[in-house]
Amino acid sequence: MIVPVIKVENLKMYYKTKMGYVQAVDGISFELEAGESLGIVGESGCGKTSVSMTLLRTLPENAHFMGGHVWFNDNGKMVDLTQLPEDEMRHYRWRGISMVFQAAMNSLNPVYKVGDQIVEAILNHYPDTPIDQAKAKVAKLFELVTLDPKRMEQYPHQYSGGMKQRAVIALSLACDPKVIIADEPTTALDVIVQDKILRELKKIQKELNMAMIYISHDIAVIAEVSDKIAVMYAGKFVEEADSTTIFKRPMHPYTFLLMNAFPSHVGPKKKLFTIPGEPPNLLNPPKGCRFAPRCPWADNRCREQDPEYVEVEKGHYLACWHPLTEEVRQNELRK
Amino acid sequence: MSLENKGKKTLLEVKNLKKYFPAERALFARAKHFVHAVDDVSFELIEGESLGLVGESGCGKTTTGRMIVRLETPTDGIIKVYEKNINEYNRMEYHSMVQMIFQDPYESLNPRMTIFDIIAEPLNIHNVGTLEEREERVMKLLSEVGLTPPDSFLWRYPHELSGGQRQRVAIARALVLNPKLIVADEPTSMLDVSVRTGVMQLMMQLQEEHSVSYLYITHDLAVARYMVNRIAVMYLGKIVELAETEELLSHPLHPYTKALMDAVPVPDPEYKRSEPNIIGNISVPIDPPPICRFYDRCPFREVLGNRCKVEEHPPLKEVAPGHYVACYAVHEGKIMK
Repeated sequence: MIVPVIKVENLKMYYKTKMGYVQAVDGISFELEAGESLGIVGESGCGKTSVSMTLLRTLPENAHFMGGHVWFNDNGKMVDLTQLPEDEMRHYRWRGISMVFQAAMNSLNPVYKVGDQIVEAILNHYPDTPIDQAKAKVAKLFELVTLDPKRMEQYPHQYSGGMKQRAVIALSLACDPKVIIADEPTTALDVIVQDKILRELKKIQKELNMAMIYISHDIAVIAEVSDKIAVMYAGKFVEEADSTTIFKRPMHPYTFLLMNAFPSHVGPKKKLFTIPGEPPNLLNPPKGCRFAPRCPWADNRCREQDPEYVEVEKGHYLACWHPLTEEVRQNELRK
Repeated sequence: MSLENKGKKTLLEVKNLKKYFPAERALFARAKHFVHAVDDVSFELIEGESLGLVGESGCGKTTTGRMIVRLETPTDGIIKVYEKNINEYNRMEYHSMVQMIFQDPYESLNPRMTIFDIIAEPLNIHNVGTLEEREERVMKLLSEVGLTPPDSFLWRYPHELSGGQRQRVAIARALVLNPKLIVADEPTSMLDVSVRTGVMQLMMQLQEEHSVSYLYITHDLAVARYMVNRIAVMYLGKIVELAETEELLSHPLHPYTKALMDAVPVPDPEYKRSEPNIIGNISVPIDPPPICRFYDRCPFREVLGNRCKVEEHPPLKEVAPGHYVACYAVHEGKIMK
């Protein structure tokens, strides 16, 4: 039996506001093996970034952990990260799970040399490392992300956007993490630079046999980097499967509409689908299935009862009362 | 051209348009160096046709659009609308023909005005109709852009609307004077996928109903494919390739267009993209040498010996009907479809 590197069970995290609780992460489950990559795709405000913050426990003050487990495989022993005291959690942060942040431009300190910032990260987590060894490690990391090691002596403002993003990836790899979370790491970059970063990230992930969680709103990017894809809507996963299944045989109406709402510049020009309405406010999400108000297939049961998230076929998870069949999909595409 | 535009009038004509911005100017000193943001750009737009300006950030696409709506003064060159230089129109005349939609619907609407005031403002400025007529026109536009029932939106403020709804308000405002040309600068790039297609389809539908042309500025080739008849690809202030949309996407010729197309991720996990064939990174065109603007990054720069290194930037030349390319290697048949 293969033991996962990370296993998340029914994770819940709400933000407390004056108007009530925002149900940003509402019962999320998934697991990931070494060398595997999971793409989490969803629209802005669906809670995908909150998932990563909850996993790392780097939450703002008004965030409330509401339950669930994050099992992390520490050399064969499964540790529940949600139950650890903060000083023990620090041990797993960066060494166990690290993160490539969304705004790479702002996640480097402008007044320190880039190389020194990464050396600092290593020394923070492994205080006994001799400094020369740490520096040699950073030089190696720079080569891995195709940056000239001479640039270790430079400051962030001397870097271009793509170079900063590479430095941030090197930083996230500094302590040999088992899991790396990449939260929209290429959103601010132009496509040619984005292409290079994606290729490098994929290569490094396979070489180091890391598990990767890649978070993005861009379905095309997710399609390219992920072995499996989880579709998130209004604080919940609605469907998860291997990437081909998600694209070719989606069963959840939201997944199906989303995949067909995305234009492509290659292949035949397809009709684009629209999804009526807007995503719900998570302060007061709709009763029943959260997608029901926008779903063309919704009936009374959908509006009353929230469907459970279950495994419908091997490795294919779904929360829907009316899974789409091949016939329905083909009919819709022909319309 | 194979478009059904024969007999229609030329709406917009841009000729040798240039915009240089001073770079690194010391206090009181005269600028010595210039960023060539837009450098000798020419194109035409026929009534009812839409053109996409596509390129990466810093390629000059937005500056071109801003000059066309007179938000920026050209350094050199001519812009004509209906065969008349745009400076010869007075402001009112001009803006009843040419309007703009901006990228960020959170910035482009005045937060202290109601939706009615925002959409009716151009009517007030141009003194069109009585108050009742204005209200009727605004109501009609609101329902046309899909904000229904319109009277429930009239007296609301922008902060009460979502991003997609705000962009619909911006579209209604741009349409209220029945313009002939709308410069749309990335109007859907801030919107979520599920909302974006709705706005794109709305814009396509309104184009037919109001017979308006778009100059559609975007970095996204896939979006441009659905919105425009022709695409002009820009690189560092120059148009490097211009062709009908499907022709350009199926037979790109310029090495930059090819690289750009290979770099765009495809929403299909089974599709294997080839790696973009391009050297190095994008730079800023400060006092660029007169040779081909793409020279430093071009993988084909030596196929014609040192010609690309010594001759001036290649002209946009028609290599197939309606398909223009600025590349000597393509002109000489060294790069094929």
